[in-house]
Amino acid sequence: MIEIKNLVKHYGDKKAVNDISFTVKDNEILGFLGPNGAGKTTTMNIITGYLSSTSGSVKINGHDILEEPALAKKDIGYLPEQPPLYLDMTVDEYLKFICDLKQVPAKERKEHISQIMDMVGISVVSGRLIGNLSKGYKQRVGLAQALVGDPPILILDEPTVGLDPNQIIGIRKLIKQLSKNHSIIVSSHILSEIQEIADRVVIINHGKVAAVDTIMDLSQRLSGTSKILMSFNGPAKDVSARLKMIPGIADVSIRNPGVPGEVEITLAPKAGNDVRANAFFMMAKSGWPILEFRSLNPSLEEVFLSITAG
Amino acid sequence: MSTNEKTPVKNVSKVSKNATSNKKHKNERAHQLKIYAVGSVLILLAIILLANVLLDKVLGNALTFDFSVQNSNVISDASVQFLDSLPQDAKIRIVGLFERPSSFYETKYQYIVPLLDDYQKKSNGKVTVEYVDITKNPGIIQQLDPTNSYNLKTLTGWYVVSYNGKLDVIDPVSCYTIDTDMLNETNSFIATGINTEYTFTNSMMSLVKGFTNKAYFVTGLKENGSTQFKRLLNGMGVEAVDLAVSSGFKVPADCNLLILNGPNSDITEAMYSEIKAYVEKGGKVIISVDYSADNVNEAFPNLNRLLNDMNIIVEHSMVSENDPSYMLNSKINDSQADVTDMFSEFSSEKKMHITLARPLSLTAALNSNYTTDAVLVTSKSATKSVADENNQAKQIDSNPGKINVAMRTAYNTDKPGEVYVFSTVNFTSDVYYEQFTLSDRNADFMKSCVRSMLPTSAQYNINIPVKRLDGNRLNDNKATTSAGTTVMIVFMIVLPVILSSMAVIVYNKRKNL
Amino acid sequence: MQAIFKREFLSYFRTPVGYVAMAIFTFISGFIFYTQFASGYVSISQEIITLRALFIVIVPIITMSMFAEDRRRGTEILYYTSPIEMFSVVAGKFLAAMALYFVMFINVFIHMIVVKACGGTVDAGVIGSILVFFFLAALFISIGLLASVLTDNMIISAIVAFLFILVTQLLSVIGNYCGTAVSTIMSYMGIAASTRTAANNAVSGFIGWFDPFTKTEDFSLGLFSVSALVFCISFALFFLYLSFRILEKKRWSQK
Repeated sequence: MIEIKNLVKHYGDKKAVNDISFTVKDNEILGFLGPNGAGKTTTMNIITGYLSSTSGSVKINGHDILEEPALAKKDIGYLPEQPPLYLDMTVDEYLKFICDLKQVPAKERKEHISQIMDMVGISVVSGRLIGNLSKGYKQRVGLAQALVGDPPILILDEPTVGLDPNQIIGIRKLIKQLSKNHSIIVSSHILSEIQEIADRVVIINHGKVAAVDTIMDLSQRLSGTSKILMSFNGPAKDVSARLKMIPGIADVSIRNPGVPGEVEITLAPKAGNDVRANAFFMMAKSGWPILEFRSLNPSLEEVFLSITAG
Repeated sequence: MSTNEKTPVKNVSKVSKNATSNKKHKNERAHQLKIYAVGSVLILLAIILLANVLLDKVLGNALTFDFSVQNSNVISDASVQFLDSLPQDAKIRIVGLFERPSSFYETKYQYIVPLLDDYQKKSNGKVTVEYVDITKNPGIIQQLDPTNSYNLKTLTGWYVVSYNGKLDVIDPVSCYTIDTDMLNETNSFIATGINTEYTFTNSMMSLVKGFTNKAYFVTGLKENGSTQFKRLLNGMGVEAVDLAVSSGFKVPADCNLLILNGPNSDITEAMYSEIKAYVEKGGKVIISVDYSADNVNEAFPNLNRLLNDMNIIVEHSMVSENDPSYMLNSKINDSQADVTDMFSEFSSEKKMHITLARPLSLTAALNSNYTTDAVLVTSKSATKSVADENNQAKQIDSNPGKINVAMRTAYNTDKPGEVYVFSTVNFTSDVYYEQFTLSDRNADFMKSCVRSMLPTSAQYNINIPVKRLDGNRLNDNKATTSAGTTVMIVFMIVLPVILSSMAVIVYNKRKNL
Repeated sequence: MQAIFKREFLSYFRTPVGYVAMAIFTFISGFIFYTQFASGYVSISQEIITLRALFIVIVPIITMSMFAEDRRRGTEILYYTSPIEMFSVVAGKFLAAMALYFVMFINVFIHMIVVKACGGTVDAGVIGSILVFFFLAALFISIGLLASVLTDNMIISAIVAFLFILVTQLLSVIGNYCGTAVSTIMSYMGIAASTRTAANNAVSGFIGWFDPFTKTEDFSLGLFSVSALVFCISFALFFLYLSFRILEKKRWSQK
């Protein structure tokens, strides 16, 4: 569990981080978003102890990062934006060194390392010089480094950058797997990725927290209640009139998709009402086949853009 | 209206004050850390500087331990005893006629400067050591040597030991014994031992005790200089003065030792009688001659008569050494001669350095009042030569054999008169000692010889053994030229090449990993 | 600290740096040894003393990438975010360089064996010279380490280290110049000669006091001066501490 309270970091007159507070619960994945220069990297650097905050506190599993740095840092695995790789070492040598640094007991090292390499998919290059690896492999070695010592808290900055689509899926699976018993903060520019894996999301802008919520709630907040798009075969006006009679539906608007016979209707439910079942049954009873039926939630991208527009 | 105008201004200033105090509060942690960091660095620096200055200035000397070659920078008990024996108000000044070197490693002062400091330290104020640059302070010369007997102006770099107006001058080079083999082979001076302490303590000794014996040098016989030999005698507490040849030549009553140092012309008849009488009354004489261009045409009839009466013949020819292991620089007239067993106590070295020597032999008819012994002998391959018209050596006697080059003859009474005859001037000449210094083995030998004749002077001579330096010498049999070449090849070529290629190999191997 | 030490020390031998430094040391110490050997007189103390001149070349080479490289490659973040004390990072790197020096020094031990085999002697002065060599090495390595902390460019770090060490070696000379300069200025101001000389001596004495070479020159004669050793170690510690503080500064700096 990570508790961040009133974090502030000054650089001269500029406030890079201006009163940020949030919590990461155990076994959850928190997405960390923000435009460039919003203070994401600074915040993560402060959480991991690389920088000291000007004021505010960071507590890692109850240990304050400034007062009990060794205990706090032992619980953190950090993959920074630029993976900290020694290009003149082989993957194996490097991970052994990290084990040393993180005080992994000597007996367990060999197995631990091979386990991690399997997890991350770099076993095949374990004897190769890091400087000779492709970007994708380098990235994964960086990720492996964060996993050494099995720290309960992982902070990953752009973990899938440079990876091909297959590898990305693999890493996402891995992160989701890990979240079963780790607290994870993932920062990414690939919003679809965050959308997929994160339980909650923190959006920061200009050094302040602009939003903290689950993605669902966020997009709902933005758009009110989720709208529904339905396209079907049938008389537009009759259907819309029937739909309007369903309790819980606030508004119905018709859109002609241009395909003869098909009608597109947008249903806007009243706040807090889930009208999907009722709408379906109504259409079925009336004998109008539904061709397409989906929720119209604003994507995370829309959420993000609207929040960070100012 | 004025109040309204005033209030907004007040508010603005209040707001800005709040802003700055907020900023101060937010920056406090960083500010504190900065002060702590800078402060701790400065405090650490201050502590370190203080501790070092304290250690250096206050405890410095106490925390210096001398593990050097047999404590070559610390005076031995013999010198300490000597210093303690001096009266409390004794004031000995040691003055170096140069600015004290701040760094004397690898200079000739390496084994002198620290040792002299130790004299000062252990003397309880009786000995002071100073260094004066005579170009900056020429007045010191007047102070030390008002009559300018020593010409100190020319002795920059030397030391002066002064006591009660009496002076001794010491050349730093004389504080070293030299590897004579190296000198002969390569003409380079390699120090094999240090006798700084011997030199200075005895110098102080003779100044304090004064002269206990007097030696007279006969002058006026076309001899060359005797300055070096006089210094050698001074250092043994023997005063040295000149005695000119004159019609009324008399050996003075206070003469303890009479010296004829390389006369190139014959003595007079009167001198013959005087000297013989002197010897038979128990007198001591040193005579040295050689066979050189200055005297090759001189017959020396009176001198010969004197010596013949004492069983010694000085032949009119030159010793030619033919044994290579005795020859120096492959010369026949510059060689080594063995010390005979009877006089082996005079030196720890077994061979002495002779040059341009004349053969000495016993007369056919011996005078039984005298006991005559050989002191130095050549190898058994020596022959005799003379100089021909072109000054080249022409062999005259091709029977190789041992030839005497120094002999002693003693008049048999209860107080025996002694005469040492050296047929080479290498034991008494300025030429020899200027090149080889008074630390040479010949000088050692002469000191023992003089000491044996003037036993009272031995009392006032503290024997402090030479501290050998030549531990660094490698065994020539093992450190051969080929061994040297091997060393060079291994360390300068093989190993660096191996290391460089390892660098290349490792680099390439890892590059491709 | 062990982790850092092991990594740094091994990295000297995974890249050409360690071998090159060793090759230079072997070559030059071999040259010094050979010249002595050829003359028939070998003083190992003298050889060790002469090797002090190599510091100015070798130390920048082995320290230039100590921290500069970490800064550039981004690996310094490991030191800040691992449960490790920053001072032990500094100490680990420092000790790795010292260990490399020790490995290079094996050359001299081989020379000693050769000398003994050829009938020479190895006396107490040698121990003093060895002590001095390593204490001076500690001092200069700590200076090189500081230079590496100050910049993230290896070459600049090497140059800065070189200059620092050069200045340290020339402190006596610099002291004399400063003393003369002060004295000259005072003569323009019309101050009496005796005061001028006193000032000259005071300034050159003050600056010259810091020269580690003068402090330690008697060691080869067999004179062990504890204060000289303390000087080297305490200033080495100071430079290490300063490096540590500068590294820490990154964390709370407001720039």
